[in-house]
Amino acid sequence: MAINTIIPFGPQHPVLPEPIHLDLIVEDEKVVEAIPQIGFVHRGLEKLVETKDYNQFVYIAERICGICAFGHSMGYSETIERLMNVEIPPRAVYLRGIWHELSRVHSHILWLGLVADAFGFESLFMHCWRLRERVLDIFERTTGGRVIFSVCKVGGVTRDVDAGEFVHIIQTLEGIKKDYSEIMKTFLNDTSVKSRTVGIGYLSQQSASDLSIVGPFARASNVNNDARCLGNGAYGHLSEFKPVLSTDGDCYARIKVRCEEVLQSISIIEELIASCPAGDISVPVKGNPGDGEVATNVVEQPRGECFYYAKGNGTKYLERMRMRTPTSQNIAGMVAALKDCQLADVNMIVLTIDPCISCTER
Amino acid sequence: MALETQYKTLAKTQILNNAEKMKNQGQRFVQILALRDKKGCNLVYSFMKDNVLLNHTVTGVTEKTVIPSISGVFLEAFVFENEIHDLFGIGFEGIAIDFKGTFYRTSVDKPMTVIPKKEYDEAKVRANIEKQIKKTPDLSAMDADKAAKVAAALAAKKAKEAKKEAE
Repeated sequence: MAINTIIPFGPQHPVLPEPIHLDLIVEDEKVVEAIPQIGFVHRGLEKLVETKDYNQFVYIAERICGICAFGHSMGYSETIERLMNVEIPPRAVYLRGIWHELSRVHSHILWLGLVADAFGFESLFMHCWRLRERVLDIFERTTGGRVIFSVCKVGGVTRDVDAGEFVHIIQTLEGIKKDYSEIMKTFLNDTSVKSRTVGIGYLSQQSASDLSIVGPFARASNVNNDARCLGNGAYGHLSEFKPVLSTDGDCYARIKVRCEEVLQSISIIEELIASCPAGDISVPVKGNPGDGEVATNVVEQPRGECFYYAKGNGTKYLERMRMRTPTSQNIAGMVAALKDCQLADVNMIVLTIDPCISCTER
Repeated sequence: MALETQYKTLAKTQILNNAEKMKNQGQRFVQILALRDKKGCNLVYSFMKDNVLLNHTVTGVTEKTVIPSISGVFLEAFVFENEIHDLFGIGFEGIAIDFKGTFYRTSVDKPMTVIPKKEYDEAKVRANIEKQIKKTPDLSAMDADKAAKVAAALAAKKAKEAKKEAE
């Protein structure tokens, strides 16, 4: 008869980039239940709206996460623009879209590297991170920053990108695409990758839908909660947008969805650059958010949908700011995917939801 | 298909029924948010289907109110209910995974945590004593000239504070 044992996993673990703890209740090698615990690095960023005005808070918002930094500054700025009925110039909308999709490319390639590292494919990890550096170089050339860009503000963006720089971005992405297709082939066809991922951590479409999971984790189980389909911002100007979906619901499907999304993002960037209108990059924003005024927003971050809520009180400080990040929505899905898995597969399953605990502990 | 946001108020007694209704309608759970106001707190439950975001607000929630957990209907809500309990001190009944106040392991009194007040006060007293000790410079470790100057400055500061207090 099997004996139940509790194995503590994290918050410090070689495969976990961020502090999450799991109590794994195992029967021999089978995980029968996983109880998650977060809260080790809570930063109270939402409360800072009481001491930082709505313009200063853009820089706090982008420090929620080091990977989706631009996405958070954009999501926050869009929410405040909705709150104050500000319409930003079309060029700023396009530039935001381009930087946001570049962030998705770098986030997904970073994650692919991490997952390769987790299943012990060190050279694949290195190739992924080498490619990612080229995306970071684009950020450095266009914004001055590699991780925190500080180019988004309420009312538009602070830096323009000239035609020559757009040509450089297109050329760099062409080069990345060529190298990336080789890496992608390895991820999708290599037997050692498949042996660690196919059929592992399966989550059915019904469970994914019931647990309201978001992002590539949901799309790998054929659930489309992609906020880009709403056509907010630059996405409304695309000729066509179809989310990448898979019906397999396992770790392999999560890798496949992210692999294909990198190419999709590159296509989006190319289309946005080709049609980027000329003109101003920002409008002046005067006054304060009205007392009792409320605005909400959803943005598709690399890890999934992020929800923003802002409430004004008539002063330059907001009454409340809320950012519900994708990982907090996906924790329940992760627990469901871990149920009945093998102990040796826990690291792969946890990693394939791409948890960002610093986002969650904003 | 642009994002459409709708707002509605909800009575405390309707929370659970409303969650079940949302589930049956095929809505997905988005988040729960606590908002402070003069009378206590408001809770905003958000659900979404297609491009419509529904925000259902429960008003007049205090620390004494016990709110029924919706984690039986939407398991993913346990993260938000534990968070609101730890940061705003609002009690939820029947959370699927209930951390009973240890979800956020922070070290200051609420709204950041639920550390008992006695322990918090003791820690505060200890911190003050340590601060005072650090504040007093060690005159014996200084040379005579410097020690005399520091002692004079301290005496002047003390006199100034006493005068201010007397006023």
